[in-house]
Amino acid sequence: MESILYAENLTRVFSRKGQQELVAVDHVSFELFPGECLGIIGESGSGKSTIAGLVTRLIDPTEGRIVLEGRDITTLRGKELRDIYKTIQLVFQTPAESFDPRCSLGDGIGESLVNSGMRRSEAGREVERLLDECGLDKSFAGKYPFEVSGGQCQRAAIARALAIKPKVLVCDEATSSLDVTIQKDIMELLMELRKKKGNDLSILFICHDIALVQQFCDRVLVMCHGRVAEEGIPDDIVRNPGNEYTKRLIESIL
Amino acid sequence: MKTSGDVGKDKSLGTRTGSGDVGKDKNLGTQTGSGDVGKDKSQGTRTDSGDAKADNYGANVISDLREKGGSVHGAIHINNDNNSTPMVRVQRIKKSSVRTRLIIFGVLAVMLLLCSVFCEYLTPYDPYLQDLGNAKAAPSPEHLFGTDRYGRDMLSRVIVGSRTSIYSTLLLVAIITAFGTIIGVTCGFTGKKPDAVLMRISDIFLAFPGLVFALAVAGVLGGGLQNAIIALAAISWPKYARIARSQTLSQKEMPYIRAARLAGCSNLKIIFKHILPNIIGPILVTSMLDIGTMMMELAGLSFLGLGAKPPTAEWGSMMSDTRSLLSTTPWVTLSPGLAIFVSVMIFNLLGDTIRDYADPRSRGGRK
Ligand SMILES: Nc1ncnc2c1ncn2[C@@H]1O[C@H](COP(=O)(O)OP(=O)(O)OP(=O)(O)O)[C@@H](O)[C@H]1O
Ligand SMILES: [Mg+2]
Repeated sequence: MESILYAENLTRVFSRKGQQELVAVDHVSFELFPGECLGIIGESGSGKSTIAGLVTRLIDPTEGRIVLEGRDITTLRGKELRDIYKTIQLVFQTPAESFDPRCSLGDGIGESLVNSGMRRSEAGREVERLLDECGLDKSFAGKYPFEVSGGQCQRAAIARALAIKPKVLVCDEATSSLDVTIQKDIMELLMELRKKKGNDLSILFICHDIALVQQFCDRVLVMCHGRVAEEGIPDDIVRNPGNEYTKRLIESIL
Repeated sequence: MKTSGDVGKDKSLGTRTGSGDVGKDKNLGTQTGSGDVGKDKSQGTRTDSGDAKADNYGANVISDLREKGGSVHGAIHINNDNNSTPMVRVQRIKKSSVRTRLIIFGVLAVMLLLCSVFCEYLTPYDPYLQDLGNAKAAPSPEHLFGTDRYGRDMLSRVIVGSRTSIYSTLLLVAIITAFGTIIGVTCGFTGKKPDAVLMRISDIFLAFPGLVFALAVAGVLGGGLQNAIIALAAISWPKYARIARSQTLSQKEMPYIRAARLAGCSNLKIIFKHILPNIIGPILVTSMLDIGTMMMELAGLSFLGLGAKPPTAEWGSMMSDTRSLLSTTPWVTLSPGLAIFVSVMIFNLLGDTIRDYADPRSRGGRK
């Protein structure tokens, strides 16, 4: 099967004057197949969010190649770059900060639709449908980011990412800022989405909770200091970790 | 040994005094706040009851007393209670008083503007009509501000002068705000080379002492109101560019700007729809505060003979023309001065109030 997202030797170095260079992501390669859910776990600072930024071209890679639907998107700019966001979307690690404080949630969710040429009234109806799909009341379309709770904001963020019907969804710790019950709700929402969309939706699921990954993902990458320490099926990795670091990670959680 | 002991004592003393002060300050703050509540309340009641005085005086006195008692209780309660209650109350007072101030100064500023727009219709006499028989007349019921050495009515001239003074000030502030913001946002957003070049240019402008540079520009370009505006604009835009740039830099990396990118917004759309609305607050506040300053500086340039030219009525040049008469007929010099004083104060207070109002801590949600 042809992969939908393919990253090859992705590397990102952060350098600042007077500071040591920091290799946040170091020659990471992976493939994401249609309908698959690929987990990325790793401790804080291991470069997970940087990968999310790299594959969505929000962060420019220092080295490496990103191929989306068979097309090299590594160096796209302008209009062509904007067009990839009809295929790939990202749910940010900090949902509350990912909404413009001066725009209502409805405007934020419908923005991609309006930008792709949909009429405002139609986009409004679509936003209501999306909110409903993500378990929120219609009235949330008129609310502002500071008026809603973290969990509600997270749902709105997922609704926004789904608005344009992307084929690849990158979830950057979509649940880690929430308490356990809300976390379960959001996970159920994501599972339902996967069931409904089948092969039309692939998910890159970034997380630091290996139990969640075990439940939800088909494959997992274990990140350590910007490198891929291990790759495989979650259950196998939990049962016999082939790497010192993975072992510690699992021990610390279980 | 001695020395170190002394130091120790000093330190502990210092600390004690310090903490004492803090405590006192806090108490004072709270008391003042609560005191205000009491006053406001009782005043409100008094005014209300004032209307109904004829009906039942006694009842009013009682309710007045009750109200006062209530406020006293309130004050004591606030002082005892160290939880969130007093803070909430003080904040609420601050917010409502800020809104009142905003309305008052806003209305005053609008009145000034209207005055400058309709100045022809507001003048009791023709401001340019000379009446040498009635020159240098002292203020009187006919001529409230007196007349100047050509017998022109000073009140009319001050009113007409508002057009030049207020108009040109607002124009100037609008120009520097728009120009500085455009430059600053461009620098902050694009970064790299354009940023470095434009910021060095603004450094050059900032390096000159303000009014002296304005004098030089006005000197090179020649006098006249237009050149005075250009001169002042040249020295004042860098401030706005700096504010806009730093604000843009702080917003640019926010997740919501990235989210806008994900939604397929072009750079221009991101700037106009997401960055500008989020940074315009502090910029507008600065420009409101600058209205007063710029009015002074324009008047100053005019006073030095580099702004508006006579016989155009402009407050600064009116003062300058007549400064030799200060000892004999002070009203001629002082009435435009008074006008400058009053309008600068109104615009400064309005700017201050808007700054307080824009402070998110003194505002609740935004709708
Ligand atoms: N813009 C940046 N400039 C400099 N360094 C950065 C930048 N963004 C990230 N880094 C560094 O890159 C490393 C990886 O960061 P990243 O945000 O990808 O971690 P993460 O795995 O997502 O961590 P967390 O689980 O806490 O979200 C960190 O050491 C961080 O300090
Ligand atoms: Mg992260």
